Amino acid sequence: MYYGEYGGQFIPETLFPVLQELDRAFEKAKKSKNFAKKWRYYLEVYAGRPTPLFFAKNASEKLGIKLYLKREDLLHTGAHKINNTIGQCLLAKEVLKKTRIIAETGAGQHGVATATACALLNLKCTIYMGRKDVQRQKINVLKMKLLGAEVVPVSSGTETLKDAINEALRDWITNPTSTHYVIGSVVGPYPFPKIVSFFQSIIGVEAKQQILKLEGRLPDFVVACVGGGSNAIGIFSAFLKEKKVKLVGVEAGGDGNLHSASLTRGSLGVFHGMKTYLIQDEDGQVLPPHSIAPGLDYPAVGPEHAYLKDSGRAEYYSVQDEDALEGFEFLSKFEGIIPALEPAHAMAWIIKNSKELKGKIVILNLSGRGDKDMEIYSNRKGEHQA
Amino acid sequence: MKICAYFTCGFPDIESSFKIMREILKVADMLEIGIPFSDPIADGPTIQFASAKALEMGFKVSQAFEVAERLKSQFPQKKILFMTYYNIILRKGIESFIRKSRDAGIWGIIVPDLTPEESSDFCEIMRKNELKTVFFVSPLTPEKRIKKISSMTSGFIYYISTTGVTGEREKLPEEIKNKLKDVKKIAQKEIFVGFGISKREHIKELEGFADGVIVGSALIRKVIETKSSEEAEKKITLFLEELKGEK
Ligand SMILES: Cc1ncc(COP(=O)(O)O)c(C=O)c1O
Repeated sequence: MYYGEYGGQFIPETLFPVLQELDRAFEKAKKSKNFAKKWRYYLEVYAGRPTPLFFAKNASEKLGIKLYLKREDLLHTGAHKINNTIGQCLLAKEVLKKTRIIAETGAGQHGVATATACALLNLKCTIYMGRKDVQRQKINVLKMKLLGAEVVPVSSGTETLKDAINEALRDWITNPTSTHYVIGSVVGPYPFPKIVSFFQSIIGVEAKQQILKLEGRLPDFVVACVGGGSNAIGIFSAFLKEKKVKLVGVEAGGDGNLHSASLTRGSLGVFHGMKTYLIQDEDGQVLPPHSIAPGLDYPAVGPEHAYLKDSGRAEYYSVQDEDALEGFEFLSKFEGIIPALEPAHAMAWIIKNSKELKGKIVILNLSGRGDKDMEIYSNRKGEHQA
Repeated sequence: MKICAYFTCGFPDIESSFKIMREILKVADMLEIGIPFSDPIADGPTIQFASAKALEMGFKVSQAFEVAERLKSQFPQKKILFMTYYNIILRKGIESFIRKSRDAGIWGIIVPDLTPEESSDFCEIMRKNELKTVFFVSPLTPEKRIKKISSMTSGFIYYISTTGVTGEREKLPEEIKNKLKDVKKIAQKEIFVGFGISKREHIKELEGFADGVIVGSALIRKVIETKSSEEAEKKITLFLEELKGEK
């Protein structure tokens, strides 16, 4: 239930029995061969697993390192999010016997991945999305609707991701027996961090096998971006016990002033049901985060990352908007891969630190593709040319 | 039947909220001072609105202690509680928050996102400072858990009328009386029913099944609906008297 002092269950009483039931269902599913078979089946023939581990030769030569990309961007719906949504929707349907799914979304990636899994599995789906995000991410709203989901704009608070989570939690408190809440990252009250971590750990399991096959040894560095932290935990998990492998999480430094770097610039807090690092003022009011990458725009972080930071097993750094754009352009130009702006932060960290990484084997978790970010990129470029 | 009124500190501004709560205390038996939090997950639209407005007006947590102290000095015989989310307490430091509350004359603290499982430090410090704890029981809480919750409760049990967030509701759920009987049997503590209480009818219905009710959103709405806070004070007084059956 805890990762060191982090995690736990800070939730209204109504959710307590529901989370207990969820934990029991998940433990049961984890032991069930039948469940594993179904989950694997959908991941393989529907979502496109295993994803390749690609040796990025051009980028490697440029940087003087051996850079491998774990290609989560090639998955159905374009990001790692689908690993979790298929897992949780199957859990809701097969084990919990629930008929209605709710989820939050910021940029729309997790919303689209949830709506997709619901269409596949015949589940009713409601997605909460901040009003500002609804306006900013029109295409993803349209996709979710096309997939049969109801999209509810949230006009409280900052009208972004954190408020969408608030509203999803309120819905769940109101409809606890019929509904399962598919949370989108390794955040929220226990057992969510555990469940999402389990469904994302397939990334690391594959990456480890692949690098051993390709290089005959473990990597020196594994680097991933951290919003809530699910793609990072997903790839880190397989290497946690391999003490020689350095694990690096890259947060969004924003514009330098406003940011989403909860681990590197936040402080201890309780938020969305968990004890973790939080971006807050001296009164404990949560501050609005900022990042050029919509998926990193969250004021807290999963409790396991808080623990990995304190224990020193993983290191966390932040990278600013400008640098992320450089990472975005770099992978596009030299590898023909347009990355999502989220993993572009991780790419930027590698570029910035290439001297220290010289000759090392580095795996970058390429958590998603950049199609969704073309409008942001275009606006930025316009701004700079003007 | 006791009436415990909830009001958001700092709404619509700090001085008006003090005056409104002063009027409330003339009629109500107890007062819950809500300390606004940026992300109130257990609250419906009305209290969300009030909290957001208070924060927008520059509310600071330190003001809640001042308001509580001023109110307590005018109504020394009445019980005044704080209701706030756990992060507000944690940020000040559990010990420091509780000590300041005690010094302000606070009787108990209600934390809607703190379960008994997570509250051993909190309860220990509350006990040392002789403040009362209030924990929630919901319609989904199993019997065994009601026992546990009751054992950690030194104030009263806050029974959530129906699964959901705060906000006014037309009707109380059918099964509420049976639930309350069960809870009373197991817990043997005072029980206050909250979430959705907004009419005299509700209170009459609960007569004999609960020791008190908690009314919040319905009071806040009176302020939202009126132009001046003097007018709101009058409306709130009338409404509370009506709830008590004095009008
Ligand atoms: C492509 C991509 N990467 C990363 C993230 C950040 O989430 P997490 O830190 O949980 O992996 C998102 C979130 O939407 C995303 O879409």
